[in-house]
Amino acid sequence: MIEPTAANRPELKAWIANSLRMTAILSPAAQLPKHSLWEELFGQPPENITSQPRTGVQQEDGSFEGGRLSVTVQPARVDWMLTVDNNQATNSPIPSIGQFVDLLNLFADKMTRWLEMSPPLQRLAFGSILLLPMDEESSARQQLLAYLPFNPQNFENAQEFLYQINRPRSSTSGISNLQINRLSKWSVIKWKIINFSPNISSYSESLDSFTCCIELDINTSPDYQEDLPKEKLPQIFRELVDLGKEIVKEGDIP
Amino acid sequence: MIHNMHKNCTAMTSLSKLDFRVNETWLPTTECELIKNQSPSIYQQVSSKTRDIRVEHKKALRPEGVESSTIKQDYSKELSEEIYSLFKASDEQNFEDGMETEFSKKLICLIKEYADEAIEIITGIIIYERVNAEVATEALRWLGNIDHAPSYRFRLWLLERSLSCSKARIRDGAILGLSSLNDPHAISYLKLAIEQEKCTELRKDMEQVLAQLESIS
Repeated sequence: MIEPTAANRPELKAWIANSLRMTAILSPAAQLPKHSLWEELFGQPPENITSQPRTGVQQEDGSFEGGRLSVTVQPARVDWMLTVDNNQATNSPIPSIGQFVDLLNLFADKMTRWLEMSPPLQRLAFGSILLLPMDEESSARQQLLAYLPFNPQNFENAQEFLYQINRPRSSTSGISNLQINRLSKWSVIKWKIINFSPNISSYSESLDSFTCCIELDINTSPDYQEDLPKEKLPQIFRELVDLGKEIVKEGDIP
Repeated sequence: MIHNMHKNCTAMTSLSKLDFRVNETWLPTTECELIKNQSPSIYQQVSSKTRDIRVEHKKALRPEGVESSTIKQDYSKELSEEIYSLFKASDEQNFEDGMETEFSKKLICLIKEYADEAIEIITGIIIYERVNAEVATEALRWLGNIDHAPSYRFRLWLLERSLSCSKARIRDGAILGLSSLNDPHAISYLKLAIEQEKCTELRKDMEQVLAQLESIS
């Protein structure tokens, strides 16, 4: 095993975001919110509301900072998710909502505001899918390996590479016995746009584009036996976000 | 316009859009539906894979669960329909304490096969009180009796959550389920439920289970 080398890694701002997510696992003591969470946070109604009455799933969404922000409420969890707005035309084959760091600050600010008024929670998570555009597949693979504790020379002819790991750490929030799972998944992705004619009898393809991809799922451990202290929820979320940023900057480190 | 993603990996990714695509077939009809809806979508392809997703059983196609992951897994409409129909079909059934029925057998099979995916659907049905309280109660009793580790946390969560359901019969089922599960984790939620319980008989039952759990903690 070798240490990932900082010299071969670009700055944090080179990464773009495909999605940002905050998941709140509700406490069994939490009553399901009956009001609009979107309206509570933004002070105005959402653009869309989707409801599945039989299963009790409700989703609200609207535009947010060039992407589409949705909140999905289920009996056991609330998911806030910022994704690519499919209604906006784009010529780029790489689906991005913008620069990761800038968006993250805006997203985290909103989420910490919601956490100040959220119901009791059992777990909290920050998730993201991040992309780093590259010219070629081989350079993307080499770039990815600069974040991982492997010797790049051993992967010169490798294909279909996928690396996933959880590196748990103790929380620095001052809550005793609270562990944080630092789950990351690393891969190289090839993208292209396919344009179909209206009758689907013909289509055209764009040139291939390549990205390094990191999928982050930074979350409080289910082994923590109590509800998370309400007054510490914003602080915990900030810690999860910082741990995510650390992985994107430093790579897979213990 | 469709985003076509050739992902160089062998495991399924956790993106919900990808899960959707992976769980579906690659038949042109599905692509047509997406185009009709004019919604860009992401396609996953792994060139060296030999598994044919049109042939294998649907369950085998789900991404392998990572215990620490919080990514939402979309459950199938078919499974949701199957579980909902099972509860509805048992509306008129008379249940006896501890006696196996077609309902309980089928319920156990579904939980053992689909784990959290099944519990998530059952949670919606019980918490939103979409079915007869007797059937919900019977389901909660069995949720505490099943020997199935992968669904344990979510079953415990549902039993604890059901202590605050509006129907007394459902709360009764939750007490019985928690008694069987015998996990001290439920202590704080039982204490909360005892404070709020207006039915004397139920409150006594809760106190009895609380004493049982405190004796082992």
